[in-house]
Amino acid sequence: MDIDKIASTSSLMTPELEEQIRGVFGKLEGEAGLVCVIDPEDSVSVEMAELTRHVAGLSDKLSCRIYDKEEAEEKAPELDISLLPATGLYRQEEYSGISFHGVTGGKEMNSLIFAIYNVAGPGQEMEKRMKKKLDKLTHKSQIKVFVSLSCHHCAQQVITCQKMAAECGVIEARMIDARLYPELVEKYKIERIPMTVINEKEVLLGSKNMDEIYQILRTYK
Amino acid sequence: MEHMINKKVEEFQVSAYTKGDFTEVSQEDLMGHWSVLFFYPADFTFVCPTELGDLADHYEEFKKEGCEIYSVSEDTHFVHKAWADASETIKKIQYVMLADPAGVLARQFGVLVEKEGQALRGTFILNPEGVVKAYEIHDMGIGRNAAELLRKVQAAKFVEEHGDQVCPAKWQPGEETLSPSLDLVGML
Repeated sequence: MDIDKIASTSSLMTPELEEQIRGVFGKLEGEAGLVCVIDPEDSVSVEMAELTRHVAGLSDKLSCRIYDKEEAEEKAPELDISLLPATGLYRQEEYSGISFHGVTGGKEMNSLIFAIYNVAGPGQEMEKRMKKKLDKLTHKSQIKVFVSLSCHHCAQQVITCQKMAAECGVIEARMIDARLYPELVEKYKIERIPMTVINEKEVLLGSKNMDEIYQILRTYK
Repeated sequence: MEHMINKKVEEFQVSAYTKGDFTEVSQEDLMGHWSVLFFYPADFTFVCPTELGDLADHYEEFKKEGCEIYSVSEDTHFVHKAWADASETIKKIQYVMLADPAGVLARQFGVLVEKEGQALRGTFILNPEGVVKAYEIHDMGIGRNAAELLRKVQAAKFVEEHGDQVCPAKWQPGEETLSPSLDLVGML
């Protein structure tokens, strides 16, 4: 499929959902960009591209770009394009460290909306003591949160990790819909979700709070 | 009918047969580790040795999970011994075989068929505090699966250790993307 012909509306969106999202987007203070990297021949990729365009179209503070893999290698090299569809969030052309691998359907729509709110601002409030702790981190850390779209604990975990990424330049937090990547389910032996893998070493099961995640991040120096 | 979930085992003391020896077992012995109470109708029957042998084959895996098995029937400990002496399947059993001829345990767990003096095929998983976390009750002729029971023990342990903030993974290939739902935006 020609990327330019991908629809700007998604069949996953309903008028009620649009209204809820507009309510949140009405509070946005700054701008945010969504970059969606897809395989134009893959229906799941196209589904996410449509959803991304639709969401971005709900606020004039949001922009959306769709790339195929080849374009992304040049224009969005920071995104992991081995797991498509991959959608990254940008703040003034700079990658925020927040990405989504898969379609942000089900409960993960919460994660996407929270991430946009946190990147564009004003963002969720964060305790000052936690912000201070995050500011002291210097080691680049990568957090992968494996989810299922029907799991409410998963969205909570993604939101927590991506909020930390939004606040701290050395943290990257990815949502990964494990259903779409069976090779990763095999690799990480995923039996329960949310399963969070930090720097390919530490594994957390279940939804954790920021302090618990920070205690692991701080061990990297 | 009231269910058994989160009910704590009440006081009891019964005789038991374990690897050739006779012992006494009380509710205190069920504390400090996971336990399975595995009721069956009677010794010297056909389905029972199949089930008990299946459990015996998986016993080491239960031990690795820190879980002790207690089979229970309304026979005496002497009958358990006689059965072990007569059956190769029962002889290999390493777990504790409780003797409940007075029906104390079967009645406590609601599996005693009074007029027959036999227990239904009830399986109860108790946590280290002696509290029932999962159970199933089959009619007399319906057998159980030790591998499935092991999975349930592992699941019960997992939930106890990790709380309820985690979901079992069950991905279906080809499943459609779920319609989005925004139930958390109220937090903003």
